[in-house]
Amino acid sequence: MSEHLEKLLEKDDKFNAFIKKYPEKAREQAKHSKGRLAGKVLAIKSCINVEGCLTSCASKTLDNYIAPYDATVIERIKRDGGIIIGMANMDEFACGATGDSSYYGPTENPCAPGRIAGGSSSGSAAAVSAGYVDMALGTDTGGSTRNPACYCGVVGFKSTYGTVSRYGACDMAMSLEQICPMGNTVSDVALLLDVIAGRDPKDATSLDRRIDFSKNLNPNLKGKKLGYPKEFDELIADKGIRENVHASLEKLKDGGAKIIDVKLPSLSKAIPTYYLNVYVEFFSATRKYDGRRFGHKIEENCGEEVLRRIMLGSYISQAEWQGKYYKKALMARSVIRNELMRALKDVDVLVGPVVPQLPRKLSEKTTDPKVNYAYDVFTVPANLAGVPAGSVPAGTVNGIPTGLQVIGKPLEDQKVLDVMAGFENIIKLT
Amino acid sequence: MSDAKKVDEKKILEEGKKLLEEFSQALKDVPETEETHYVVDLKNVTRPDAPGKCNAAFRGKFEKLAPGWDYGYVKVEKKK
Repeated sequence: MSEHLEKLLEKDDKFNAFIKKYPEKAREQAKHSKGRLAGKVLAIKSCINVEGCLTSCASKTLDNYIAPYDATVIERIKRDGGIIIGMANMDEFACGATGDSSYYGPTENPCAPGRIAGGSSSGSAAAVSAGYVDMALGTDTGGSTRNPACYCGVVGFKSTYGTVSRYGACDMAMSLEQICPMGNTVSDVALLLDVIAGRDPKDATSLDRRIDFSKNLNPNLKGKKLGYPKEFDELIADKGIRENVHASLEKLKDGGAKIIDVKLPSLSKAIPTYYLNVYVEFFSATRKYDGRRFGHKIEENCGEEVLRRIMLGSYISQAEWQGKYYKKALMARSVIRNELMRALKDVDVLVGPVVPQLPRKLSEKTTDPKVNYAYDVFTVPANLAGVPAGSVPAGTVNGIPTGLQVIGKPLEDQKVLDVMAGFENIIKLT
Repeated sequence: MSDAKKVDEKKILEEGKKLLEEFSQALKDVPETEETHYVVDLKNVTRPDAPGKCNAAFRGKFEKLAPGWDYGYVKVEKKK
């Protein structure tokens, strides 16, 4: 057990996956590691409180914040023998899809040198991909787990909203966010989800539901009805990704599944709807970062995208603008949610792309928000509707990993994981 | 580790307002309907009406985080 840990600790962090490692704490945890995660080594996204560790949200704002308590998910990981090796890099306050807005420098993609790892859970995905850890925790507010999992060739899963307690996570937008497992295989991700999920009285949104995903994992695709919205094709920007998605559909058919055409006519409204919601919620969430009780004042220490979201959230929140922007976005959220439910009505799950384009080069950094927001178009609908969705590796495009997204009905996380496991088996054989 | 950027707040707000207008235009055809704030029902009272478990070490750790601490209270500078 400790031999495995020592091997991982010896590895040089070539991709800037970690903000800070804690080898001594990890060795201490390894001595008493018992339970479902016995011997498993984990990286934790730096927006989840781990007692005694730097929980900086990759921002100068919190560069002196040593968490005084464990988030509920961390209590559960420690109770089940998980060994936490360090705090993973990320986009500042999870405000990004690229992994290069961290105060501690960008994360590089281990599978595509010189390119972004995706985000915002960039370090978590890179740490799994580079073999620094067995598993990791990310968060997903609009795709922040699925996007980097896709680009780094690993598995990421966002459960139904409320499945995992958010107590102890520094929220980006609390009505959309979930803490998520990442790993090399669907069964690893299901196991980590088993450990962290379940009702928590400290989180009013957490659900009381039966959790046994890893034991019930069934990769059989025969007879499964998989919906594919044609609107996906219209919004995929990269030809290689489009071809990969359609090749994946053929593989699923060969595995015994049926592909059924469905519609998501308001998909193009997903990004405006998502960001208008996020601006307001993020502005509210950041009011505690005033530098009086911990950290530094956020507006004086954050990067451009974080400041943009705070300023626009403040602007929208003014009474005279609420109806024009925020209330309209809340209504649009209902429309997108209802459309997604209709698309899912007669199928088991939806399948499709995770991202519309390949990860850009680190040297091509842009501050144009629309360019960066475009990465989110296929992932935000699942957050707006609170439904489960995961990314599973689907091969490569020009040598760069890409993924297949699987989206399910609320509380049908098991079906999503099953289809992901079925597809994973097909990919392993090809 | 990079220095937090010096950003032009005025420029961000002005460009941001244009972005909001674009988003607003994209949603102009959305019909009047119910608003979705949360996808789960929220309850105001979720914990048993009893004292919770106390982490005795928490206060000391929290005190270390605050820039100023005096007589059991966080000490804060007056707004300039």
